[in-house]
Amino acid sequence: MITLDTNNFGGGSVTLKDYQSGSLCVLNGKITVDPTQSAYLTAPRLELDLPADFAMVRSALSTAILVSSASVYRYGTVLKC
Amino acid sequence: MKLLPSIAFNDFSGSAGNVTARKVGDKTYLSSRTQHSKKKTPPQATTRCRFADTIRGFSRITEAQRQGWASLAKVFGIYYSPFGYTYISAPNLFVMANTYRKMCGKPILADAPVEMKRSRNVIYDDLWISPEHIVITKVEQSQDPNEVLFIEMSPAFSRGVSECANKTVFLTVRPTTDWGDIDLTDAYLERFGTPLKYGQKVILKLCWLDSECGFVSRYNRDVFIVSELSLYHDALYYPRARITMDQIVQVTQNCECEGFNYELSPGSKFTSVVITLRYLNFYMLGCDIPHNGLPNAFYDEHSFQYARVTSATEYMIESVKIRIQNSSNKRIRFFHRDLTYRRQLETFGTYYVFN
Repeated sequence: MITLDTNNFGGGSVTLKDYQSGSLCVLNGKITVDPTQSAYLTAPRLELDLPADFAMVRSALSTAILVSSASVYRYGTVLKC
Repeated sequence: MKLLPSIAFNDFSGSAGNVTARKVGDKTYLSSRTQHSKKKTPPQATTRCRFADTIRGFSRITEAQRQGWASLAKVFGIYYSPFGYTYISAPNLFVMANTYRKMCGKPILADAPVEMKRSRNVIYDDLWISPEHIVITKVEQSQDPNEVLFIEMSPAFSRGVSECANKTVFLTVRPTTDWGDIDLTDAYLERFGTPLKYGQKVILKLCWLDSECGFVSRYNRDVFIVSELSLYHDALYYPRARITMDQIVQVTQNCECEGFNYELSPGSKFTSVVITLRYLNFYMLGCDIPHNGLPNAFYDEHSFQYARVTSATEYMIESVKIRIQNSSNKRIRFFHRDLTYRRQLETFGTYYVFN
């Protein structure tokens, strides 16, 4: 588990499961975003700061699924990360 | 030293007019004075112009700015050059910083920076230097956005040459690596014109350079022998298996591919993908894109991927299956697994590959 304490969209602390081997790194978790936050509205992209001791030899383009939590239309899309 | 008396009949060494005398043993040799060659290659002309322009730059800055460089030079203290430790003057510091800044594509810096960050060594896993490939793999990533990979190379004139100092010439700067790899093959050919030969010696110098400071201090500099096998692991070079726009038919009757980058990771079967499609005529459930032949690493691969619609009004989530066929059929098949009809599609990310 790794904990990401700071971000640029006014969200709280986030905990992600992490798995690392010599050639593979998988991060999995749920991140809650409040679109009414002023920090979110002014952020050109969403950024979460990884712990200082976290390191990857190399990284590749990955995805995150964004789903609305609205009660009627739970629209979703895919984000690059 | 200019000697006015006849130099031919004395134990003189020096120049008078266009004649230079040098004494070797008890003999004096006369020769015509060495002159700067007017012939130059385009890279030499570029380098001379860059250097001359940077030197003139110091005379154009204000006195206050010169004092700033002088103060920085004092703080700088002792500077290590290939010829030993020395103190650096304000003009030299200005020229050094701005020469390397220019190589990194930065404009001349009139005001002295607050500090001069030294370049640092590059950590990497393996290196191929062959006539076909000059590739460095698993290069340590930089966390500093100002840092670029600064690379100098030179083919040695003979295998007997091992002295590296001042032999390398600027090859290229790379702001980042390509998945940890640096391919210098094209840059080398562009710079030197002819490929390397097996057995030839090559001098390679590289460092992570802060492009704002332009201070080359610590770096890797080694002499390598051109070989088919890699330097550290004695491995043959296999290019990463990838499909790009050049290898596919970009426009078919029904769809246009606006972007295609599909790459297989070595070892475990993963793919890293960025593909953008646009259907030309209909809302479709999928399409086939012919290709022009792929590396042997591809045979019949499937990947199930997330995608998103890229219309102006919505970015709805999608699920697509991509099948790479590189045997009797030579095509790439896309199928919308949620059975929805779309006009534009973008899929990206890292996914497991089945075959």
